Amino acid sequence: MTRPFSLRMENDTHERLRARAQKLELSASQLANRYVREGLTMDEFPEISFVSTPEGRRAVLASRPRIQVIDLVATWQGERQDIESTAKYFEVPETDVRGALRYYAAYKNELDEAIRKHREAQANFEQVLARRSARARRATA
Amino acid sequence: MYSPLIAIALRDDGVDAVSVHERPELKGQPSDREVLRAATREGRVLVSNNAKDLVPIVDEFALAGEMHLGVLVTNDVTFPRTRDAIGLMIQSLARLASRADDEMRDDCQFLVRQDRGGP
Repeated sequence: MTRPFSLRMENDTHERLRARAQKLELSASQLANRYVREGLTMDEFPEISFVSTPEGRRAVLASRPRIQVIDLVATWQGERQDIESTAKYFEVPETDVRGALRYYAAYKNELDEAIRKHREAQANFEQVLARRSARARRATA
Repeated sequence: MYSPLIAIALRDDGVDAVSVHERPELKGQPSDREVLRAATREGRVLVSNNAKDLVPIVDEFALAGEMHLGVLVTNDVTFPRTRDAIGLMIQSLARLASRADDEMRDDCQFLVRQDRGGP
């Protein structure tokens, strides 16, 4: 649900917003919404940042943007919810793991769904590749 | 994303492996596309558990006629990302590393589990 909200923006900031939105093929309103939403979240969870992926925006560790929050959560679950082991696995500070887990607690349903889809994609793709390999073997036999 | 300890252990076993974590120019690089390009420049196969993001990029490379030296995708069920499973990952990758350099060129495959003493 959305509601109208007007604000006074510096000319230069407005121009930069419009240019960036055009580049990303978004409306200025959509991009401003994203910046405010993610900015508020990053203020609340300083260990977290956001990056664009082919699947949309993803929460990552601000200090290590290659590590997605869902990666940390999956390892934390696999390590019997041991924060120290999770930090050692990725070689990141425990404070980063704690920050990611605070974010997970706040957005648990969303992240559980992302982990479920991630695993489902792996399983589906593995099956497709297995079928392709079987066909190739039959064709060359 | 896997533990950087895996690449370190592979090098100890004589395999030329490197983790993205060890490349300052890639450590903060969120784009898998650029990581795949960097792997290609260094003559490496890219290993990732992120099929959802990488498969579209592999297709994009194919459509653009852009070459890469292979992508190995892993399954979190077969290769859990935990400290207990690091050894299994090392064995499986070390076994694969003995294959010819260009065997996976432009290809995308799943990493097969190689337990110690396996085939």
